[in-house]
Amino acid sequence: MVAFSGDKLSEALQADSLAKLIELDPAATPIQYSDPTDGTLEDILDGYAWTAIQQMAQARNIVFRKKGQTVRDLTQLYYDERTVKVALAKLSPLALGALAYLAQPQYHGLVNRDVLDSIFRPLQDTEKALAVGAELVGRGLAFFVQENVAGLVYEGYQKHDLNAPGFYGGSILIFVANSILEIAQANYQLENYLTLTPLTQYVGDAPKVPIEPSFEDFMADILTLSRYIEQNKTRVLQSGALGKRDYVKLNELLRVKEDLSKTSKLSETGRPNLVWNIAIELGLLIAKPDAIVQASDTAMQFYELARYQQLRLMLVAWANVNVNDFLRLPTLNFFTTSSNNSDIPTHSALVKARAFLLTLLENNLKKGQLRSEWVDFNSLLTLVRESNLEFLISRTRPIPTYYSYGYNGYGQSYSNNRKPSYNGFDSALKRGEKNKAGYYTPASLNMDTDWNLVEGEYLAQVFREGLAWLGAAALGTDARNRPVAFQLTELGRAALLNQPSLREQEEAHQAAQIAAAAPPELTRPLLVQPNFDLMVLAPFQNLALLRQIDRFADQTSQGDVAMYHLSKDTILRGFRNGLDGPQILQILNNNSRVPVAQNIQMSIQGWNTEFERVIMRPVSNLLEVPDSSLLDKVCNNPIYAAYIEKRLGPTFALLKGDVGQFDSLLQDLLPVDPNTNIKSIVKRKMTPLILDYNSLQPGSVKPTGANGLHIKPGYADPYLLYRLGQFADVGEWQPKNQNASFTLSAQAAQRGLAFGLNYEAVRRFLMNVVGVTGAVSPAMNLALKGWFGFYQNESVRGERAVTLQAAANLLNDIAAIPEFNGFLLARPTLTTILVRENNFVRLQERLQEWGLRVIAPELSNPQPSDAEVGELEAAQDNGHKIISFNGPDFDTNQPEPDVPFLSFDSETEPSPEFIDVLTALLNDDFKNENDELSSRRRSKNKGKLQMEAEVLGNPVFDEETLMDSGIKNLHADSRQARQAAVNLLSSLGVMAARQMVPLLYDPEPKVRYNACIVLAATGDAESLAHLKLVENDLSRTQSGSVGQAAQYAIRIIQNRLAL
Amino acid sequence: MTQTEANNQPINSSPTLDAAATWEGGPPIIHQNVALIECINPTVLDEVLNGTALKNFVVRRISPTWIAVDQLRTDEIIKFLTKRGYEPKIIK
Repeated sequence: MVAFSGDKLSEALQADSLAKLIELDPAATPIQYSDPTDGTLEDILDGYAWTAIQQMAQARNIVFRKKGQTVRDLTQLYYDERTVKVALAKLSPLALGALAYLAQPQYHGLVNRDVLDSIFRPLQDTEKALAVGAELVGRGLAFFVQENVAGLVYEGYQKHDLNAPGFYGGSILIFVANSILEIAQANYQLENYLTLTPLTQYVGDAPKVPIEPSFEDFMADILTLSRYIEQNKTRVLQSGALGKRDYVKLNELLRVKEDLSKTSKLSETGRPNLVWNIAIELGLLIAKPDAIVQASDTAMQFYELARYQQLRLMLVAWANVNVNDFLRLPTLNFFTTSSNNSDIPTHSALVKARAFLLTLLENNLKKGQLRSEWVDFNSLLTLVRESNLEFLISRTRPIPTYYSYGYNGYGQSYSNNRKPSYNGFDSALKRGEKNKAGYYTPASLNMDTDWNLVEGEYLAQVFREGLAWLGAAALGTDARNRPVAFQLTELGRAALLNQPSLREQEEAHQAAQIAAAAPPELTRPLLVQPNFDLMVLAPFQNLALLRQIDRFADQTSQGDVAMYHLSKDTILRGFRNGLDGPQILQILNNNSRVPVAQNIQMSIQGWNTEFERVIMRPVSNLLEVPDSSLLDKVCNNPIYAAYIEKRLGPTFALLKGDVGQFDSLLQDLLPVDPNTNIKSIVKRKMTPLILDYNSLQPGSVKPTGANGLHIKPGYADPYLLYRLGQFADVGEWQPKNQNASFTLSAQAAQRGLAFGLNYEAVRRFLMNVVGVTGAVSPAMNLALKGWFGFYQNESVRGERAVTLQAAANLLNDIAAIPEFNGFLLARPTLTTILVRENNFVRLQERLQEWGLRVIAPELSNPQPSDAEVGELEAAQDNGHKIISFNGPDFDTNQPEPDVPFLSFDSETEPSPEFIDVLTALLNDDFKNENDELSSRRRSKNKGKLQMEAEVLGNPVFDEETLMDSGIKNLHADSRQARQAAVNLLSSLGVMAARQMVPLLYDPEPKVRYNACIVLAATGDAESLAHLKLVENDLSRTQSGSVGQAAQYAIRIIQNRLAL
Repeated sequence: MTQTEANNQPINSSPTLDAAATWEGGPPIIHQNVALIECINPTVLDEVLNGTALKNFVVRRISPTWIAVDQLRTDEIIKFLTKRGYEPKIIK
């Protein structure tokens, strides 16, 4: 971000060159390498073929000897001025031009060989002609090199020949040592050999202008953006840009609107994206993670500048913006938008390119070579190509790694003789071959021959959009919309030359004349009308005023005059943005041609008084002292008084500045009282001197008893007391120890409810202050739930009942009889059923009719009516009678198997033998399942199952298939199928136990229940932990609750482990 | 408890709502990160406390025109004060 303000702004305005203001990425600028010294020079020269060495020696007038000696002679005389001058004299004019190109300060003697050969190509290229790069090397004035992160690489894989350097893969560069360049510069006027083709005037039909340049429109849109940010709650994305909702709304308000229907983010738009990025780059807006902030000071300084200065800074910002205008080239088809593994320029490359273009225009303008007429676009392309062919995309390819030999680093096969292609895009302007459908497909773009289609099109694009939007230049096109010319605007020329434009000079002259002839009020730009309308004359010369008025008035129109309207709402907006009534009146009075009407002054003053009735300071620091005399002392002491912003009362003062420093001063204010020994208390941190309201400390509150809350000593700050005081009654309060105790009660909770608290809010607060170690007791938790209405839609119902106890299978039979449906209340365990007391006699009679013996005492109470069923509080005696059947022996915790049957999918139909085995398994009596004999029998059956599977050679019957089938049938609707699955899985040992664990959390209670039963038979110590988690699961099934089944399984497993 | 009874209950039982957080002869205390509201005069403060829900958010009464309010609920406070015609001027 360039963000010009203060001293930086003054420096920027005085800078003689735009290039000094543009922040180039140091990594994107060439490195200046030091000259090779004697030690390395011999090795370097030794890397050249004998024919090359001979040519070098010949060029330097060094007598041939054996190769080794000649190399040593060359090494000794390499920087010798006499021999260098001899070699220079033998250079062709083209090679001298290449040397001049290399001597330019931005290259430091290092240029890509292809670039050099391309620029300084002989007009009649013959195979025998030596390219300029090779000529410089052959004259002993340069080296073939490659560049990597460690520096320059001189040595090839083979000896370097002048026509075939010994490198393999990667780009080859020409490096001329600085010492040689200095000798060349001293003896030849090198710049004379670097003849650049000048820009020429465009001659042809008047060109069309696709986008009319307008500085005023762009400035108006920058102001609109600022206004939009100020008046709307804008959302900032993680990328730091505006969200779609905002940029679409903003686009509607801009002077120049864009079709955004095909965009999904701001960076895909053209002009809105540039407006946004220029505002950010100039520091007028600051995008923070949570909001966009107006940088008022920077903005006011910017708006107060002359227009040519504003445009000059905007051009610098444009060069720096993180906007990839290359991706907007209409003639290119992009295969990717990423710069990785493609030639799409990076942000730093684009900054470098835009900086180069601005500098080129600036220099040509200063030299008088850029006139105000239309300039031929082709002449610009030639000039840029000659000056800096790689201004946008580097020709230098990385040296291939071990893994990429034969490729140029972008996935293309490579040889030293082949010119690389552009990667990542092709051009609609270059046709390839016809495809099968008869259409031409675009051909790949060659870096040597297609510069105009890539770099040339980019130049056209920046004139067509960026520079035209800013109002600095315009592109001229022909009838086919192809670029033919460009032109700098008057303001664009003024900005590049850093001097006022003619129009600005005339305006200043007129203003001076008016000021001399009329009272100063008449030169003011504002008219305030009694009907609350404001008019700003010549708005673009008064942007700073426009921006100020924007803060407290609504703009209704803008042309040669900007119209605004004042209202209470707009004035309040100004107040919210930090202005006050006197400031607004001052802006109006200082700029208005006529005195501001009384009604407007009165209204603004009235709104100001109204707005300042209530003032909030959301984050403040407060000093509290025990007595007013101490605060008097503080306020009268200049050292302390520097920290006091305002005295709020006898014992309170509002602080300012660094509270931490004031805290250390407070130590001196501590009273010296032998009875209280305050210093000792403070030292032991029993009484904190700073109470931070924002830090509720976990563990600061400890629950005591059923409804007590105790604040630990040293933690009772007024904010914690306030929070607890909302829903609890204070008991003891000891300021000296900073501790207190509170009591929860129904009445206090009512207060909390009236305040808007609920159970969840109280629970969260208590969790914060109690911390994990001091959990709220279940009784306190239930009390809070009750008092805060957590269960307000729930009630606890009580009903008289008789408990039937019998074997599970007998109770299953009873439960299956429809006649008894209305009699039975619940089945809390497998061997217990609760029967409504008034239905019990009837049930008893029916069972006795069927020959079942019922042992039950005579019921002393008459059959209660339904009316007695009611809320728990109303039921004084809700105990129930326990009745036992005289049936077969039963284990009260044992579930009873159903009819043995296992349902299989049709494609896994079991064999009759298998059914027999299953039947044997399923007939196994569960009541004895934990005795050893039964266990052995199950193992035997399991073995039989496996044998069966092996005999049949059918994988359907392997253990895994049985497991899957069993698990599947645990979810079956048929109770019989579920029972069979339980029996089957129970026979599969600990493997089944592992599979049952996830089923303990199945949404269906029946599945959870059956998983417990299977675990009872198969589980181990590991299963116990999981079962304990569902021990309190009260979900009902036909056979009992899940929790009961879990308790049963825990007991069985524990017994088994004990054995 | 009826609504009227609830309304007559004290808003908060905090012992420092109206009293000092230190004691006579005790140390001075800095209260950090406090949200303060200042009214132009005591009448306006009474009016705001009685006419809005602000009374529920008072952490301390500091003087006839100054109160400390719940610093975690300032957005809510600004909202209902604005709705009732007492939009506060925010000084950060």
